[in-house]
Amino acid sequence: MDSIAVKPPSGAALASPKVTKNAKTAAVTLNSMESSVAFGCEHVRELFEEAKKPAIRNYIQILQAIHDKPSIIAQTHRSTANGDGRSVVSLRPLYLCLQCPDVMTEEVRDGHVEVKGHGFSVESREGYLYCHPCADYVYDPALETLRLQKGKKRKHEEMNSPDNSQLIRHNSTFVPCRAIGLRGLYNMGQTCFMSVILQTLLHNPFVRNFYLAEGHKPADCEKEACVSCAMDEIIIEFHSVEKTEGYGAVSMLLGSWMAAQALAGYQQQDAHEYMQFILNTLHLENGGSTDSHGSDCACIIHQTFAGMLQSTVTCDKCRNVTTALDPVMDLSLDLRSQAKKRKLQQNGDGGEKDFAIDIRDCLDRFTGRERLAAAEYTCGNCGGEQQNATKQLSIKRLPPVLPIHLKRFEHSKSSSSKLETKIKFPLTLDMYPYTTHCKTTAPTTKASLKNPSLSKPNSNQNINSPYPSLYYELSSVVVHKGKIDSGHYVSYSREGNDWFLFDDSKVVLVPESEVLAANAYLLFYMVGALEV
Amino acid sequence: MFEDGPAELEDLLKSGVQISPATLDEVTKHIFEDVLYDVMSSIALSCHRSEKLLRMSSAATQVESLAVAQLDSQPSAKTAHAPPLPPPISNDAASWDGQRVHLKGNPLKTTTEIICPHCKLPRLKYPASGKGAQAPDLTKEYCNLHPWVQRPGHDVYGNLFPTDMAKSKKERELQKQQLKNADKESVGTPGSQDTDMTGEPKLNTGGKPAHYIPWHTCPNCKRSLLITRFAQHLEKCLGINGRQSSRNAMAKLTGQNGNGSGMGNTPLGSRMGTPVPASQGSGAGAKDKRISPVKRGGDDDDGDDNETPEKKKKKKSSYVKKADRGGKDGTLKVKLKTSKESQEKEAAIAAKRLPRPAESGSGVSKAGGEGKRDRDGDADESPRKKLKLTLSKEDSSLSEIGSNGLSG
Repeated sequence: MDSIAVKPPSGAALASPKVTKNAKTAAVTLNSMESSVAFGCEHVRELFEEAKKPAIRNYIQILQAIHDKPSIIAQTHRSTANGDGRSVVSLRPLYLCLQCPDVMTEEVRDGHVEVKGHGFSVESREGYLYCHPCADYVYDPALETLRLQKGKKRKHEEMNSPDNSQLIRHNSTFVPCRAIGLRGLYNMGQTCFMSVILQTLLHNPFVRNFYLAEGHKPADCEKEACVSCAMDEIIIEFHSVEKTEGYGAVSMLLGSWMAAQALAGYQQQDAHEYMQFILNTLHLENGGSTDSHGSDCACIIHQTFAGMLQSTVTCDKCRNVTTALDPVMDLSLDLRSQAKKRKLQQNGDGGEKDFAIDIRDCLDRFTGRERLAAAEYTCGNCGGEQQNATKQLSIKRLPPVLPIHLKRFEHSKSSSSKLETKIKFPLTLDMYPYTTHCKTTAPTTKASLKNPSLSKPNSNQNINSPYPSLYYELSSVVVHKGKIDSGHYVSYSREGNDWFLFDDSKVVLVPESEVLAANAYLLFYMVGALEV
Repeated sequence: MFEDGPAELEDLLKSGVQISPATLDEVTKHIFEDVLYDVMSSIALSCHRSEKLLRMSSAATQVESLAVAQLDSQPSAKTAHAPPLPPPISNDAASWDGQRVHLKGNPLKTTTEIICPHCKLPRLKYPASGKGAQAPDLTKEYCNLHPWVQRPGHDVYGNLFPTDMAKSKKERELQKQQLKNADKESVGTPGSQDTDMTGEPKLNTGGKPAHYIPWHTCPNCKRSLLITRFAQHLEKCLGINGRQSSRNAMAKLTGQNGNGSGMGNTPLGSRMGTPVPASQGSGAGAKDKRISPVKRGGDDDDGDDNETPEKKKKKKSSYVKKADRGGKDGTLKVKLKTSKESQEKEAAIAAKRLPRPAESGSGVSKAGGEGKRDRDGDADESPRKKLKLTLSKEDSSLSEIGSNGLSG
C-alpha cells in the first residue's frame, strides 16, 4: 500500500537519487541524465497522444470511486453467471473500464477489448492500471502520481518543474550508491542508550531531510560542542561516504555531555530521558527558544514531534467542563494497571490462555474516563465546593511522528523494578479513536462500543481509505534488555519496507515478525500520509 | 466469489433467516478464499510494481547511455549554457527521441538486468553470501549497492560482526604474521577492499575485518585512542569523574602547573586554585584573588580582567560538575582542604554567609543554562555525602523522572 510522502515504495527506496553539488562541469555528463520513461507503455503513449484529458479525467473519477465512495460501489458487477445479469458484490478485485462505466471480473475484462475496443481497465482495490494489449499492469508516471494521491488534488505545485530538473542536472552528481545511511554506531563505553536514539533519529525522514537540506550549517554555527552540528556531521557522513563499518559518534557524545550535566559521565542512562534531552537540545539549537513550546515553535523538532493533549474535567453535579491544554513530545503509557487487570482476569478464568496486552488497550486506558474523588477536585461553578468529577485525556493535536513510551520502570520508596510484560503493537495504528475530535463527537452507547465503525461519525464505508481514520505506521522500536540498573538497548528501524536491527555497530536485516515480537520500550509511529 | 456480501449476510442473520450449518460452512469457506486471494493479489501486485519500475528505469538508463555515447563520439562543441541533447537512438527495449525515453514492449521481458540509475552499473540480483546467495559473476563490475546479506554472524553488508576483544600488541602482531603466511598460500584476505588482487578479483563489500576497532582523537586532549574506551577517557579528560578525590587531585596538579595562580588551568567546577603559601593569614581580603578566574568570568560584577586571554567568542557551556552542585537550593558546594589556612577561610566565609540567604535555584538548572553561582559563601554546607549512584532529581533538567531505566 503506497502512500504519498512518507513511505517510498519498496525497492525504489534504495534507488532514490541523492545529489551533491557539483561545481565543476556544466556539460551533459553521463551521470546527470534522469533515467525515467515518459509513458508507462507504448499503448498509454498512444492513449495520451490522442485523448489525454478525458483519460485523466476518467481515471481520477475512478480513483475517487475507489477511495471516497462506499466500497460497495466499486465492488459490484453484473453477473454473467445464470444469464440474468443481476448485481453481485465481489470480495475479489474487479476491473473498471477506463473508457466506459463497465465493471468487470477478470474473465469479462479479457473479452471487453473485442467487444468494445477499450484497452485499459483499473483494478478496483488500489487503482492499478491494466493495459490489455500489453496483457500486464503498467505504471505510467503521470497516472502513478494520481494513483498515489488517491484522486485528490494537490494543493501545492509539483516540485520538479523542468527548470528545477535542468538546474539539478547541470550542477550536481550522485552520491555513492552505497551511502544510504545504514551504518552502525560504535559503543564508546556504555553509550548504547545514545546509539539507539540516534539511530531512530537518523531514520526519521523529517529530521534526516532537514539535515540533508543543510538545515543547520556547521560553518555558520558558533556554538562549541554543538549537538546539532554533531548530528549534521553524522547524517552527512552516512549519506556521502561509502563505508560500511560503524561510526564513532565522538562529537555527539561530547556535545551531549557538555549540554546536560545529568547525563554526563561514564555510566548507563535511560534512553527515554536521553531522547527528551536531545530533542530539547536540538530544539534550542535549531531556532527554538526556551519559552516556545508545542506547535508555536517553528523548529524542526517541534514540527515533527510536538503534539497537544487536552485534559477535560467534568463536574458530576453541574456538568461544568474545564479544559486544559498541554504540549507534549511523547505519550507515556502506564503498564502496571494493565498487567494487574490481566492477572485478575487470568486468575478468575482459571488458567485460560493469556492473551497479550495490546498497546491499544493501553491507549484506551490513557484516554479513558477517570473518576476523580471529591477530595481532588474543586468545582468553580458549584460555588467552590469539592465535587466528584470525571477526567478524560485526549489528543488534541497529533504530531507527524508520535513517540510512545511504555513505563516499564517503576520506582517506589522501597524498590525499583522493571515490568517485562509483553505488549503487542501493530504495524499500522489508527490514532483517530484517541483524538479529541473523536471523543467529543462520538456517541458512547453500548452498541457503538461493540462496533467501532459505527461510533465514527460520518463513516464513509470505504475499506481502502476509511474515514475518519488517522493511520500511523510503525517506523522505529527501541528495546531494552536486562535489569533495571544494567542492561543493553537495541533498536529496530524501518528503511523503505525493510526492517533493520541496530545493535551498536551491528546492522542486520530482520523480518517484520521479529520486530513485532520484540519487547518494546519506546515506539515511534509516523503518519501514514501527509495532506499536501 | 459468492453472492451475498458480508453486510447482507449480517442483515440476513439478524432478521432471523435460517441458514443451515452446511450453507454457512460453504459461505465461510468462500469468503475466506476471497479474502486470502485479495491479500495475495495485493502483495503480488506491489512486488510486480517495484520490479517493473526498476526494469523501466534500467531500460531508460541503457538507452540514455547509448545516446550519450553517440554524443561523445561526435566532436561537436558543447556550449556552457545549453549543452545539446543527444540525437535520437533506440534499442530493443526503449527509444530516445531527442528529449524523452519511450518504452518498447514490456520491460519485464525486454530488460533482464537492473541497472543502477546513478553509477550505470548493473545491480547484483542475489546477495553474495548467506540466505539466498548466488555467487556473483566476478568478471563484470557491479554497482556498489549490494542486496542485503542475511547470514548469522554477519551484518547486512556481509562483514563479520566486530569482535570486541582488544588484542594486545603482541597478539595483533602474531595475527598479522599468521595472515601473511596464509596469504602466501591463498589469495585474498578477509574483508579486503581491493577488487583486483593478484589472481581472482573479489567483491568489494567494504568494511573492516572483525578485529578492527577504530581509533579516534579526543577533541579535548587530541590524543588518539580506541573507540570502546572513549567514554571513560572523555570523562577523565573533561574532569567529570564523579569522584571528589580524583578531582581534587587534578586541581592540585594543574594548580601547580600554573604556578598556583590558577590562570586558566583550573578545571571547571573547582572553585579555588591552589592556595598560595604567601597569602597565609590574609583572610578575607585576599580571598578574591584566589577565586578561580573561571568562576569570575561567569559573574558580571567583578571587573577583574584576570581572565584567560584567549576568551573565545563561542559560548562556553557553563558546566557544573555533578558533585559540586548543591542540593535543593542549587548552590555550589566545595570541599575545602582542612588545613590551617582553609580553616581560617572557612570561618571567614561562614561569618559572611549567615546573614545572606541562600540563592534559590530549586532545581531550575536548565540544560546548558547558566546556573547562578554563589561566589562567596557557599562553601560550607555540611559535607553532604552524595551517593553517586542515584541521579539527583533536582538536577535533571527535563522529565519528571518517574521511570528511569539505566542502561548503556
